[in-house]
Amino acid sequence: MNDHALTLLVLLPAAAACAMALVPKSAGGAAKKLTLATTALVALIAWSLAFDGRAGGAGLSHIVSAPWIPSLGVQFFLGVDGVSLPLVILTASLSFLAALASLGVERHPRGYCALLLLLQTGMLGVFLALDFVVFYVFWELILVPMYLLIAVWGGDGGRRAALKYFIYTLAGSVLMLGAGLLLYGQSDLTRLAPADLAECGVMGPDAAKPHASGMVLAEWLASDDPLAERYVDAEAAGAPLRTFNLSAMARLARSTDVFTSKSWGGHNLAWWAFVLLAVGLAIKLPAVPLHTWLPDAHTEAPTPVSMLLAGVMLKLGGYGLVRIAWPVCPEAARDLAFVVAVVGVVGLFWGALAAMAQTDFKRLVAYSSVSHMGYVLIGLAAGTLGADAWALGATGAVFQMVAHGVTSAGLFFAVGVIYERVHHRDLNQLGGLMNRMPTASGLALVLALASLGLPCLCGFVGELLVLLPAWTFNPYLAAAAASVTVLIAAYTLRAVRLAYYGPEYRGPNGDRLTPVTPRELAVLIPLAVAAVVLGVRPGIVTEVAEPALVAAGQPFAHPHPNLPGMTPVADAADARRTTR
Amino acid sequence: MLPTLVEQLANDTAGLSLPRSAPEVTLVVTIVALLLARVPAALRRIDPVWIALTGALVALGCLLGEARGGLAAIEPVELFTGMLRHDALGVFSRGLLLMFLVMMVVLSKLTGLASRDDGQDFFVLLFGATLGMCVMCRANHLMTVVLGIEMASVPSYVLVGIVKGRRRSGEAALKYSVYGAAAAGVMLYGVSLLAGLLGSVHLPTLGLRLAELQVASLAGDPSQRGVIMALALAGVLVLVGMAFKLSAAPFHFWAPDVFAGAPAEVGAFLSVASKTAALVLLLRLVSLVLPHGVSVDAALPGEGVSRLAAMSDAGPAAPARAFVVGLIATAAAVTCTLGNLAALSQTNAKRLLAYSTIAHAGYLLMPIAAAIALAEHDPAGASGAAAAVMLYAAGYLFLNFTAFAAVAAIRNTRGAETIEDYAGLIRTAPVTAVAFCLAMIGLLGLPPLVGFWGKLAALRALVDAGGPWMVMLLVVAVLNTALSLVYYLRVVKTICLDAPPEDAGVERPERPTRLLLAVGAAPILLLGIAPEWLARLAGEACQGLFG
Amino acid sequence: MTPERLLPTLLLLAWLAPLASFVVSAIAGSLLSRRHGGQEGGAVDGAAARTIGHVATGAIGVSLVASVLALGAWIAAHPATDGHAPAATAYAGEWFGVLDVGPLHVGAAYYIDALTVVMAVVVTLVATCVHVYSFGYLAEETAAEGLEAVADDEAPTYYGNKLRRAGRLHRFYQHLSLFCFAMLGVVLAGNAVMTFAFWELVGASSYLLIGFYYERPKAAAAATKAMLFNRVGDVGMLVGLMALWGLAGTFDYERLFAMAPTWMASHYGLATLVGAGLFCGCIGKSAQVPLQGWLPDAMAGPTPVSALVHSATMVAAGVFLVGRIYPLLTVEVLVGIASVGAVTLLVGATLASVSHDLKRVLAYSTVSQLGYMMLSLGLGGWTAGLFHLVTHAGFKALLFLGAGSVIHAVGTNDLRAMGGLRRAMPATAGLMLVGALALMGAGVPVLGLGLSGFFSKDAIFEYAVAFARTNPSYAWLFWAPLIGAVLTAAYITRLGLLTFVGQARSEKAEHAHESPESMLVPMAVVAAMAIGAGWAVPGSRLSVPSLLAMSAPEATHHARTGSAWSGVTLPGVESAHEVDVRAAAGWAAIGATLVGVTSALLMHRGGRKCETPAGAPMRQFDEHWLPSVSRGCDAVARRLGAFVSGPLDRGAIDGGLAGAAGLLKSTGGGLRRIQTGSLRQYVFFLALGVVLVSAASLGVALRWING
Repeated sequence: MNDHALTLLVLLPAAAACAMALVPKSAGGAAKKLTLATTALVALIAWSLAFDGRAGGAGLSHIVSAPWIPSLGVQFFLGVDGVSLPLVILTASLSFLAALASLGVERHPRGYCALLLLLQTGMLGVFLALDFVVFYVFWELILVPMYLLIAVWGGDGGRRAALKYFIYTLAGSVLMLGAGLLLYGQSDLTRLAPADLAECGVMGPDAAKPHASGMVLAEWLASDDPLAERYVDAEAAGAPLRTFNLSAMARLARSTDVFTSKSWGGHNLAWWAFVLLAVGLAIKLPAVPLHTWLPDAHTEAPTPVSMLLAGVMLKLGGYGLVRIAWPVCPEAARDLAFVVAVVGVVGLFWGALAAMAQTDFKRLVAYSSVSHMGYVLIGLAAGTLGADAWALGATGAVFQMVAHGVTSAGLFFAVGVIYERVHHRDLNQLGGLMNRMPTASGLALVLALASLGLPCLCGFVGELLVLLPAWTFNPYLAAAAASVTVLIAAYTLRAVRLAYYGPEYRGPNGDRLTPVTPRELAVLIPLAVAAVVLGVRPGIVTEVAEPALVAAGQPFAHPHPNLPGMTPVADAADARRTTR
Repeated sequence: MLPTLVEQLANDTAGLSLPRSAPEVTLVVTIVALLLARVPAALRRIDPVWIALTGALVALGCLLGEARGGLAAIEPVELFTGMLRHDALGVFSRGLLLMFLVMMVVLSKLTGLASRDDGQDFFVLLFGATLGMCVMCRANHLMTVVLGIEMASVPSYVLVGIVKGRRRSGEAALKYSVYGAAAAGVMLYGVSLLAGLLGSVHLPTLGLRLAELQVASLAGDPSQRGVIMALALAGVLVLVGMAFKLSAAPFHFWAPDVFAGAPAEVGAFLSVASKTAALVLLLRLVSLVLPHGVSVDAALPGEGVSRLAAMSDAGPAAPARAFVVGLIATAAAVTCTLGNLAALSQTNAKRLLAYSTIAHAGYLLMPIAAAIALAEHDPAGASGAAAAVMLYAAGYLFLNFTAFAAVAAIRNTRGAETIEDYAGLIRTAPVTAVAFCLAMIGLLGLPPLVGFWGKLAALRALVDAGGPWMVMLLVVAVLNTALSLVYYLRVVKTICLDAPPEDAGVERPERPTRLLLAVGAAPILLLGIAPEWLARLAGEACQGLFG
Repeated sequence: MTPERLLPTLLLLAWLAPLASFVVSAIAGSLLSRRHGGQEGGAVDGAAARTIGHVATGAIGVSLVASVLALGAWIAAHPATDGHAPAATAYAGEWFGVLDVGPLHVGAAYYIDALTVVMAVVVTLVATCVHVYSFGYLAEETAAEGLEAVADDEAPTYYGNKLRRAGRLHRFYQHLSLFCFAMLGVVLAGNAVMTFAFWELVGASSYLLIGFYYERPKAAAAATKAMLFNRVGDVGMLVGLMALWGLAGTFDYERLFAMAPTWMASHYGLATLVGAGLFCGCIGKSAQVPLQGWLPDAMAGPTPVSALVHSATMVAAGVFLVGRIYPLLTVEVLVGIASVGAVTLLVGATLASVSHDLKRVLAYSTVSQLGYMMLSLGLGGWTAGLFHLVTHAGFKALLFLGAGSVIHAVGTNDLRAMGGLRRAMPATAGLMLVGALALMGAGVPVLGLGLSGFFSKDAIFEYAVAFARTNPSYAWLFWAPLIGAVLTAAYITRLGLLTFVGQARSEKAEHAHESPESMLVPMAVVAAMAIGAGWAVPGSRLSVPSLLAMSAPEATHHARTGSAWSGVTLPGVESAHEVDVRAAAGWAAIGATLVGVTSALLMHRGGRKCETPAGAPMRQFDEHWLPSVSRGCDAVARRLGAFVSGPLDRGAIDGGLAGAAGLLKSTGGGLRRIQTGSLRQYVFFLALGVVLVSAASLGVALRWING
């Protein structure tokens, strides 16, 4: 039986977006309230996933599986596991906060709300989709609403920035599409064992449940599932049965050689697919040198959109890497891990250095995002070393995504709070805000410290988890990555000092520095609280994500024969096993 | 003897062929009615659009009657002693054409192109061309191939210049006709070569002859090498004719000028109907003439469909097929890239759409190459690739119709056809603007709009076929998609973001026009969200096409 | 209850009480400031702010009591012995887990030995005194309500008038509570990650405290500088942690100490890297050369903060950490630590003798004293170094609190504007004198009588002498502290003379008043500590050093020789405690002090500035060279950043892509140009196309035929 919580999660915002057409033009307020209510409902459903005891952990749950376009082999296949659950909750919550932050939007509120809701559908869909085409559809669904949101409701340079965003991301996503098709072209469901088929959701939602009653292959084949019929046909003809099922692809990569048997130009297909996927997803992440869309887009976007852009959008790339690129192309990931790690470290430095030079507060935060996402790449690269490294690196990467989602969204909102009042973001003209609006400034300070990587706040855990395996991977890169913390501290503290400290505000529009409103507090406080809670109890994310990541990272459990970096001391390795 | 033959002929015609050609007959009747309606003064008051609409709807109804039992149930038969071929693909493609005809009739009436006085001429030409296209869709004989193309082309030449008194229009018509005549000549030469070399004009028989030739063994025989060269030349020349109809590079030069010169409505017709028919014809040619596992002994020429049987690994015409794959793949890649590149710097909406049409011809050719490549080992896969073409074409129908209809509607309200003039349309004419934007984004191929699924199916066919040519096409297609973003998005940007001109008054098209635009645009979204229906139809239409 | 259950429980209480106070004050402070008058600005009712202060003080009092009880429990469980007994077992365990990923397990763990207990008592004791003291010192923060309660003349406003702001005593106590929580976390930490986490948190709370007067540009800059300098050191620490993980796969101290000998044998180089990396963190936190620059600047914070954070506890955390991870350190690292310490103590002492700012003198003195501790630890004097840490916490806190009292009365930090204050503030002067004597290490060697500093400094000299004897080529590690002792005595004498002796040199100094009791009583408490911290409990062998010695790492008990520098041998406890070494050390220390005091007095009497000749260049080094290096780094980073975000991002990448796009577009334009519109040309193209395509395909066919 399908569990329709996830369908609801994905379709509710879309339905609400359609309903915007029915809202009369004059009733902008109603549109905003409808959006708020919808996002609140979605957030509730998302949170309920965390508490109903089924989601999270290694296996998929809440599976929705229905034939969508059987002719093209596309299954409407949604599910949630430990990797996606935190990101889904993050997305749903941030969307709600963004809707809350959007209550002040005055221009074309109906269109704005409809686009925001469509955006939410797309983002949630990406995190929940388990079929490559569904994943891609949701991925692309984000583009146009985001483009319009930045271009219409953004700043003066919004159009250019939005166009840049669109071009970069579309270029990335077509590369991803190419990779997905290449993998599809070699996949073959008939080569999977029945147990795998069940676990990957191929046999429908019931068989995929962790303690399914052992639905046997024959039973499924006898059912009227169109896929089962095609399976029978394919098996009879000895022909391959192609699939877009992401779990099945990962399973195929692990247990068969379908993706690696053919070699073109010295590399096998998985390698090429990995390159395409990595480049495509790196654009979204973003990784240097494909990041230049980000500062522009973030700077020009309206505040709630910036929150979503930094808080969720950048995670889509990282999530794609964790969900598709690494599990489906493990050998290639291992082969190219060094390149990925170097890109990550360069990104770390690049973003941090660029942030040092910014005078626009928002641009500074945007560049800091470039920097922070470098850790994701480093963690994933280092994770290819072995089972332990993967557990640390991948979990660190996922944690870093969640943590950055919280802090960057919070910081963007904090900048928005200032901008809404004084209509500029020039750090050199700010100052003294700590006294003018102490609550907002205090919360912003907490978020800034969290983004700086202060222990007991959420930024630290991801860094630590990523850096530990990174050392074994390559000490020099790890040391370089560690040294970036100085730059991160430098630009963050500089921003805090210029914006919040100092004797008084001397910039323009000083008289408009009104106290923070309850609505703004309602956005800031949950984010600050989340930053603290995640820092103090990181287990709430890691315990959920780790089993799923370990399951996805099984190909990395067997160390590569020519292991780069250093080998741990033998007796120490023994001790490590008994540490827990 | 003779009476038997006559009886057979009569039976064939009246019992088998005519009932299965009811839509074509309806079209002919409508044309006659349209012409006659002008003669008696009493009938002159009737707006020809009603006659045309009735005719088109009846034709469509007849066709639906043919498809009553589902496309899968249609048994392929040869009609008119092998001149035409009745099968699911023919029904499906003609269904698209006739549906499009209905939409065209309504559109041309609403935009005022077919006025009360001139409407009759316009509709006659439109119906005549459609009739030719229907013949193209069912061609089973080199003669019907040529006949169909000419029947479709000649009225089109006139349609391009239908608006009297516009110099550019007339010039475009002239260019089109000269270019078309030249291309037809080239093709005719190829056709005659083919017929002469292989000794037949019946397409399945041609295929058998080609198989019998055993091209590979010919190559070993020095005296027969000339035959191979001549065959290659013949194939190329026939394909040149097809390329002209499809506006594929390097035979696309006519397209921008013609589209720019012709009224937007005619542009829609040329870009959608003409191209669909040409694609189906191309599919027919490659599926029938290029043999795929045909058993030479088992097939009896001239009698029904060639029977298929498994043959040795490398079919007798494998080299010929590989040659055609390369030819089509190259043409597809060049056409697609060229169209997109040239579209980047266009300022006129119709010219932009013309280049977009060229680019899409490239995309559409890709799965055909895949189909030919697949035909040898995986007939089902090849049919799937053909289905991808049809799915793409079906989606493309709505996309391009909406785009051109919007151009026509805006021309009537704003009197302008350059992209800059579309500024701020979303404020002054929201329905038109939204429809136009949907069409643009759909043409770009973003999900969940219908354009994506055609593209996905096409790319999937490429992947299924595999091999260096297909990977090259995959790369080209993917990169071109990214490239095409720039110009499609520019239109969207102009419409949605730029400020409308200050003197813009009430610009909303009439309600019926808006309704038509909505009707054209709704499938873009609806079929995008639920494409399975269309995908299955396309699949059924092409089932068994390659055996 | 057995000590293994009692100690963790007590210390957990001590640890969490300030956290509770922090949470309560943070929430209450925010709520109160919002409710107050309906306008923002952080104004909190004075009484409410004081209540928050009382809560914080109560919390730290609870901590103090719990720590003292823990000390008692420890002593009860480990009766004092002769000193050289095998190390007492530490109680290690975990309160609760926090992070469990793959092989990594991090929890709120504890590692309790004598060092832990003693540090806990020191921290909570000084902290309690500072909490109480601050009521008096920061009284004006609650003087009135509303947004314009406090005038701040160090924060320049646009129109040049005094900045007026709301009082924020509650924030002060809030941050102070956070600091106490973090500091105790460092002290208790049972694994390296927890140490690092609280280490950073200590840094952050110090950031908040230095930036308490965030309106003042100086304070804001100093706070940033402190955090950044600490971060620079912490990079090394992070590298050390990573290497430690690569080496051992665990962060648990107990486990690490057990494993250390194994990997010292197998991976000496990596082990050295671990030690060096971790020590880098200590360089930052304990303001060792070359990262000492932040500490004097940190004096921009309120003086009680300087007393607690920047003299007694936080800066000592580096020394504490070296003591804690001592078993992991190789001889090479230890000698490095000693060298850094020696350089630092000289630099600090020299600068202290030339500064004109009361608090900066003390800050430099702190730097110098921290150098002593590092030196001692590096030379193998584990007990001695940590003993000095305890005594220093007492007397330096006393000196700072006294300085605060003076500043509170005079309203300036400038020594040149003081003078003769002993008349107006006799209590302060007396207490400061005690502190100064303790700092000099005043005492009578023969009788074994003296203030706390006397004992600890003696102990350090013992190791210096012993080390110099074993390694004659490293004799400078003996001379450096000796010269340092001279300078110490000199600068503290100078400080006393300039402040309390002579005539008042400014109007404010003339009208100075003694500080209130709430300030004097805590000073008296720390004074008691400054005096007696070195003494043994009458009638027993129990003293701070004997307590610490119980937990001295195994490695300190006997001489060790390095692997890479095989010439270096660290003396063990025995060689440092030889009679002749002790005698030499004692005479050297007291002699140096006497020389220092005498020369300072003579110079003062002679009317000369009592400054060291090395002062000027050293000042140049400290105030120009080092800052210009950090400014240079900042400028380079900013320049690089501008380059990266400008020429590279916008120029190379964006420009490159734009160029590529332009190229595509112009290609498109080229294609468009072919489209001339001439029919003749089109037909020509058609013919050309047919010919070309035919020729190409004929060619292909021909090639195929031929092979």
